[in-house]
Amino acid sequence: MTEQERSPIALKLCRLENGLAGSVDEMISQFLGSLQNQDAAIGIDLSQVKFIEPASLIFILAIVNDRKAKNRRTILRPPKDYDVRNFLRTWRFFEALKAVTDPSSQYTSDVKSHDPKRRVLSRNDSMSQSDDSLESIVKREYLPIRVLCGTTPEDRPSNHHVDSELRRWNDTVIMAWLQSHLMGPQGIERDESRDLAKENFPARIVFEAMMNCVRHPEATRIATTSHIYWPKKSPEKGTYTAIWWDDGKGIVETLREAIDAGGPIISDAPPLPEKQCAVKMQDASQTRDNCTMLTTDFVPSHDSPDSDLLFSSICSRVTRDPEGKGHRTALSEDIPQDSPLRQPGMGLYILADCAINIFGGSVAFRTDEYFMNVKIGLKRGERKADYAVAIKCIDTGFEFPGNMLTVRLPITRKIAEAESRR
Amino acid sequence: MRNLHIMRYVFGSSSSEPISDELHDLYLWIAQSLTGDECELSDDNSAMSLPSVAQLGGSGMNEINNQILDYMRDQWEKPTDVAVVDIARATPSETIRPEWNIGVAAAVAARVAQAGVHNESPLYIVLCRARPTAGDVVWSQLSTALNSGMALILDDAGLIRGQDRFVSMIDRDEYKILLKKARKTAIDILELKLIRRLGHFRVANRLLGSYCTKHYFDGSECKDELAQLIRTFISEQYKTNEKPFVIFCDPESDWLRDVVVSLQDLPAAGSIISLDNFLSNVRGGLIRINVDVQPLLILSVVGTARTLNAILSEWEKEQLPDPKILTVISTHGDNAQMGNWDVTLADKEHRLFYFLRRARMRYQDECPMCRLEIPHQTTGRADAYLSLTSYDFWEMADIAECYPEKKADIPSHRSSPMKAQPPIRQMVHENGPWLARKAIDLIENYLGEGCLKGVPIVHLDEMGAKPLPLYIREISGATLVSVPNWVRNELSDDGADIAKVLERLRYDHPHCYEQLDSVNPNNPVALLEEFTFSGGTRKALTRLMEKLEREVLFHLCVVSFESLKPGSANMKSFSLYNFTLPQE
Repeated sequence: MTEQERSPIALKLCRLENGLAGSVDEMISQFLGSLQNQDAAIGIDLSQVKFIEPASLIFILAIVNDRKAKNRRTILRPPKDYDVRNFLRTWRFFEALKAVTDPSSQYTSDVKSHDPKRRVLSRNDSMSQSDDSLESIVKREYLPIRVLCGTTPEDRPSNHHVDSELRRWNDTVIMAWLQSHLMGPQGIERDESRDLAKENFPARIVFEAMMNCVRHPEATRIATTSHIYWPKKSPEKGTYTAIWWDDGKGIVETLREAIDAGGPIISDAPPLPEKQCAVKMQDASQTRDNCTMLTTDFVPSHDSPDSDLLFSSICSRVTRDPEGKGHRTALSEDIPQDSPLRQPGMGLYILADCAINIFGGSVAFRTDEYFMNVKIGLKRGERKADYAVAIKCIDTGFEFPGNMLTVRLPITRKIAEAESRR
Repeated sequence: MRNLHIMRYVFGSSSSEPISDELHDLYLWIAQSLTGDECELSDDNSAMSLPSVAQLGGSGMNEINNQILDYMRDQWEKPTDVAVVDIARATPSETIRPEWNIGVAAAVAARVAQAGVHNESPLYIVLCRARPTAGDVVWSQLSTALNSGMALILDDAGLIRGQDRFVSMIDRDEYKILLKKARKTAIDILELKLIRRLGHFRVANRLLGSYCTKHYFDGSECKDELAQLIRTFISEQYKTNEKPFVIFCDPESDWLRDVVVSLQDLPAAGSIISLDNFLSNVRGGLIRINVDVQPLLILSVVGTARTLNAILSEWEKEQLPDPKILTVISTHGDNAQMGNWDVTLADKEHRLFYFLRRARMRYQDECPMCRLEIPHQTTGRADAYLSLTSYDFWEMADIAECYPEKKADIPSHRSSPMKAQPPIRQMVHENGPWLARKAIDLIENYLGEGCLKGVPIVHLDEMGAKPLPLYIREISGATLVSVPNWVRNELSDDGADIAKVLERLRYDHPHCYEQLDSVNPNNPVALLEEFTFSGGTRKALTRLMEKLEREVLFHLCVVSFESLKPGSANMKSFSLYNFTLPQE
């Protein structure tokens, strides 16, 4: 904190009770939605937080970035708990804040360098520099937050950023970890599952997630992070979560503008298999679930509600730019007009299919006032479907700035083997 | 006898390339295995690969679909009984994207459907790196053809997606042997990508104190190949149930650590640990060693073996079983690649296994660079300087004597031979990966990162040791177009008949002509040579490109003796070292 920030000023304070992603989203959305003067300085108080998810850090980063762009002041009170502060440091949260606010400022220097409780990391610390297990190296060097572009005005999202992320995710170390832990479809042999991870994770998850960010109109920044979670109760089966966020125009708004403009929103790509979706809609006023059956061949129209527009983003041929002519104002000038970045695609359809059907996971989207989760559907019953889609309207008057994509994949390990290698 | 057509499509490749005899043998074997019949490569098959349109405009789907269909219709004159469509490879800078596979699937599906209409039943064999899952949406266009038995997908492991009857028709072990033969081996790629950086490095050695080295070895560009080589080494040297301790020692950098920890899931490997952690855990009684299994000690470089000697002395103190010792680079040994060095260490005979033998200069005292007050550089990936320093250049040149230019080598645009020219060929041979990395860094510094992607590199057909373009191709993924030397002489005069040169190229060097012709007119090309004296090669190749209506993005040479006046070259021209020769 700077001297100015230390001075006693009237702050509207959002006190976070815990750091779980859903809870942080809910608390901040309600707080910002109820704020009468959006220009007022606000504080986000993390002091009581005992545990925080990386998705929450990206959420806060998005809020700080948006408010900074609008010249609104945001102050963070760091966690009292040393371990949480240490996690923020190792996850490079402060560097990321600095990158989205002002790379030249000393915004968080005292928290970063002069922590009174800072101590030499113990040998048992999972992030210890001397721990040379594969997972520790992956956590230290590949998973913490990275702000990929936008630290200078010229550094606009481009195919160069997509390529360098592809290179990073193909690196020997992270790829070895993914190949060892990601699961393929049931019944598949271990060797083949390793090949599937190598063949599909960078090309279908990283590439499509990055393309999704780069193609959002007015996107200037992309941030990404991942994390590994092994529950204590069943430590052989865990979750790997990867998150991408961009500060571009939201998916719903973008598609709405394309439909309102009256042009076609269907690309001439070859038809891909239709997936049945049980779409459950929830909002604050509804006490009962409202479930409709849609397919990934769905085409939204002028009359479609926003939730349908969000759903259509995972459909196989819907695009705001079927002829690939658009995005010229959104993409930097140096991207050639014939670059693939300017072309229509079926990226999120492919990404969702890969996450759900190849790796057995799920995909979530957070944009505007919506949250959408897509996972494998029920095998039988009235709501039998390929995908179960849940769309939630967070109706607080607050709109999440940009687009956040979260991919959750199940992971597995052999505990006996892992322990024997220690 | 069945008629076999082949199509090799390399994603990211910007011009066609010749298909090797080994690949032709592989394709023939696959076709014969999966048809159970004699096959014959069709005369109308092109001997060249199909350059990729995927890196250009569009998402690639429709473009690839159309490109493949056009190619098969135009190039394959005879009816197709069996076809091998090889899409398993991409250039090192490219990742094969799902949309591109959709394009391939759509094209093959269209061919199969067309054959069905004419009551033909060909077999289309698509070669991929990893077979898709059953029901993969990306390959959904092909599902009808797969079910009909007129198409199948075969991956690098010999696994098949298609009718069950094909599974037993492929001998997977034989397939892998042929596949290995048709591709560059890991050791060959290591040779092209393992960088020996020149500079002035200070090494702090815990066991021996600090010293200076002239060379730093950087394996960060070839970690996958090293991992593959070490996996093979462990499986050859140990039984699966032995599970040795794998101990790595690379105090100067992290690339060996990255490689070794990536072996975590190798069934034959036991615990993986750094040397420091291993020794401190042994001293602390935290780990127990099975005395019947030799631990595996892996090092990045062994030079004088003094460090290794000190390590083994510590080893002796702890009464540990003798390790097997593997080093990526050794300065001594019986072979240039995959050799042994028998050496006495800590009073015992040891055999060191190594992958590459390379020279390394190291100074315990009296470092000449310290005497000249040349600052120390940091180890790691980043080079301190974009160009070559005078010290580095002349030291490289010192490995062999400068020699007068042979009369036969004098290009026609110069009347007299150079009295002394540096031994560029030997310099490239000794330092190729580093020079290639420096050249790429230099170009990217000026033209932007990734600027070489999809840019074909046109160069003269140099004879002898591995020339620089081979190293650049392996690191950057550029496609090479090798032009015969006589083109330079024919085109050096201002009034040269370019049409005549092109005609001669078409008949005498059809591969070269086809490669040049296959470069997309919207794609710029780069010119590369090892040294330039008067700019004659640059002028000649530029003329050729102008005639072919291809834009030249830049010209690069390792060393330039040219005294360029400002504005005298109308293109971006770069050199790693510039030295103006004294006027005679």
